[in-house]
Amino acid sequence: MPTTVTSSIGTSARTYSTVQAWEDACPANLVSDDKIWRGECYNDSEFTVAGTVLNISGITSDSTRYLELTAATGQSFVDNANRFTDPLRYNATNGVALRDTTNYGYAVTGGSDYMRISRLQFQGGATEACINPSGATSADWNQCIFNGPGETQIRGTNAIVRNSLIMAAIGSTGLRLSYGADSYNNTVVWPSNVSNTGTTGVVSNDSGNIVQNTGVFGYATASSGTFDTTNSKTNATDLGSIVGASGNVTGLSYASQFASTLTASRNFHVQSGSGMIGAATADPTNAGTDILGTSRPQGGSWDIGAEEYVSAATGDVMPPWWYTRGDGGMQNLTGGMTG
Amino acid sequence: MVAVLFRVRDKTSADFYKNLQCRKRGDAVCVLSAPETWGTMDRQNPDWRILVFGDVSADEAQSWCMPELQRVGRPSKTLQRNQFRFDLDALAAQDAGLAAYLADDRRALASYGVSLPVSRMRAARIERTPVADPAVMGDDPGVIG
Repeated sequence: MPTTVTSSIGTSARTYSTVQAWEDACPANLVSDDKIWRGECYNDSEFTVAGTVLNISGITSDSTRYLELTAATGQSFVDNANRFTDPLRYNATNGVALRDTTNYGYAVTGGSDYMRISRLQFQGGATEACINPSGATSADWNQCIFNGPGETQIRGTNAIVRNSLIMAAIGSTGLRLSYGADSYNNTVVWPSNVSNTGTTGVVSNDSGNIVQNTGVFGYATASSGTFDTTNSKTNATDLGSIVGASGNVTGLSYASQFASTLTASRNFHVQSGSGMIGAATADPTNAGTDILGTSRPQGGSWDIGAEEYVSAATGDVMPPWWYTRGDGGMQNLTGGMTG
Repeated sequence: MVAVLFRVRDKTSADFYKNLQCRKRGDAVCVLSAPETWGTMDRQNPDWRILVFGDVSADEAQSWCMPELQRVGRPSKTLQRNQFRFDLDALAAQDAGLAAYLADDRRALASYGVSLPVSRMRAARIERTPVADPAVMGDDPGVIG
């Protein structure tokens, strides 16, 4: 049974002050050391570096002894008290965020097999990709916000990105999948007021990538490359077509899916009436919990994209402006009622 | 003022390629600008030391952490973790206080303010020599042994 070594990362009260120091302290061989190396980031301040924020490399790992980086309880946008009311976008105030402050560099590069990254926000250098990981087998990126400005790259056999918001506003690609990486229940967007000439939402860089339950909006082309066309399915787009053997939802109105698709006011909370609601394939393995910690499904059917829509009638997870009345119904603090 | 976390002890891997990606003595790990907010292990790990420089910019210090960049015609599998390392022993030979700080694995002092002229610091920065790939025969990386 491996030993989990959990360290806090933040300012002087924490174990490490930077994610890079935490990574450097990791044993070179987690398998022979029989350890899981877990870092819990605290939102003491935004993790900014004038260059690449985190480079992971040189670590031997396997499926039970691996590196894990996440936000501590109460430190992520995923469990922020205002997650349902604040715009769904990169916001370092609401949770741990890693950002390169220069033109060149990435929020994260390198990688380690079987690493798990979750509950974090990322932004790359001003002219670069958001993250540029190496081919880490079975890497798992879950419940993250990738804020560009360039593409988000996921590489590695059986590597997956899931339940995440992925935005790009420069370059030509939103999400680039390489070496067998797959996408499950992500929202991949390009701001509607930024020229999208020549852009593609999801690119299969090699071949065999699965794209499932993924919403792609604002790009000139939804997907391109040699995907696994048998297992890719139930994706959504504002365009006429997207990869997927069955169940795709196409031709949706971009503006009607989200609260705001403009750069400055962007807010990718799913709106009532979205065509993504109830249109997904049930996937408890990869998508049992959405980007904001809401369990799926809500209302009996699974939604496409990072966020599972919570209607007032569902009553399972309610935004904070609702409360339960004594008779079990829901009362909206602004006066509306249901149930 | 800028503070740099250095490795003073090699990190090693039995895997040839992974070992190249492990930082060695004299490699810069990360940089913090004043005010220092180093974590508890940053100040205690015997593998590390924190050196504070009064006249080095954060951008310059950050450049010391850069990985070896890929060169045209060289296989990327042998790129090393840091492009530069510092000859800490050469610096210690010029500063007895620094020598004592580097030798103290108990880390009685959390950090040490380097008073050497920045020119001497820069002179101790050594660019790494590219490493040949043992799986590649000859100079042409396209020829696999």
